[in-house]
Amino acid sequence: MSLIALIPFVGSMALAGWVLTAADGMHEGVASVPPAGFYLRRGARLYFVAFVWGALVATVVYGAMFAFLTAFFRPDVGTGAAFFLAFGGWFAFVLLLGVATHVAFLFIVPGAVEADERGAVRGLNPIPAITDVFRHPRDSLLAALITYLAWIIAGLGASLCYVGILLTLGYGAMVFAGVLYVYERNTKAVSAQ
Amino acid sequence: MSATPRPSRLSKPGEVVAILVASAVVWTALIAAVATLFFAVFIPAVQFGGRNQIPADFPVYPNAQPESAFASKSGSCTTVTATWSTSANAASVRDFYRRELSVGDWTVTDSTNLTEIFFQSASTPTRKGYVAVLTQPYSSRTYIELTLVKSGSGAGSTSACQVLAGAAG
Repeated sequence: MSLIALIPFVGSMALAGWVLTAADGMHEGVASVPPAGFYLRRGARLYFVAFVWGALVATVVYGAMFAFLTAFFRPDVGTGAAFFLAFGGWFAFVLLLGVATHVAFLFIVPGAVEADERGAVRGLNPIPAITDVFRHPRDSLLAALITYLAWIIAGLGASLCYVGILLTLGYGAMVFAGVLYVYERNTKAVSAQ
Repeated sequence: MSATPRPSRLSKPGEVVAILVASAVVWTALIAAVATLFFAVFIPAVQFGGRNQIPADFPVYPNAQPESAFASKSGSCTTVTATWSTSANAASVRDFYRRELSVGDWTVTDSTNLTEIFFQSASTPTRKGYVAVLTQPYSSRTYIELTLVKSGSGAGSTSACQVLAGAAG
């Protein structure tokens, strides 16, 4: 499945579908790894929401980085208030980015669950996911921590000349499937009662 | 268990294709925008960031191509380093600068060096520097390097702003 995931666009959608299919199996009491394949119809709505938010965040982050780097090469940036503004701003930006990327883990699982349930376009609305985090802070925090672990597991192989990601990406994805299942079971079942 | 039954969470094949095509188009547009920003805004901002600091009355050899312009400030001193290239031979470029830096507001202070012509502004002695005319092996082009210091605090404060001259190598 990791090999399929390497295909641009299609691979990411297939991987999302594979993860959701595994979570579906767990909801039905079957804790097994689905065979590798192109689960495009299952993963399309989650992929769409993740892509749109990813593109927005990337635009803001890289736009800010370009703006700072361009500002650094202004002749007057080396002296006075401009120096503190540019370099202070840069350090604040990097600090904010570091904090934001870690806090974002809180919203990944609720966001994925809401996107999968509500559909591609309605899933773009972040309010339900944010509401879920505040309604279920303990579940959201646990989901965030295990997602963080899944992310580390998935990326471990990248340290082996990147080729190793073929071995670890699938493991990380399955851990994420487990998190999705547990979070949805705990929070949606509680909500339905 | 959840509000939406799972079979209904399957997207239609048309939706899948539309999402894939849209994401590919958006991705390509983003990459194009980043590349455009990089080459059209960022690189010129870095390479020619000091262009505004070059005095407007400084003579530029006709049809010389700007290669770079950097400026840095240290206290009240602004140092400008700019480079042009031209296909003309070094001797005619050197003659041009000896002549042009001797008219108007500019005064040549030393042109005995083979490659460097030192000059300063007659009306504003806080503006001074040198032009180096260089040729490089394996290149038919002649390079003109301007190094200029300016003091922003008026006349008399230029003694703190010094130009370090000398060709590499």
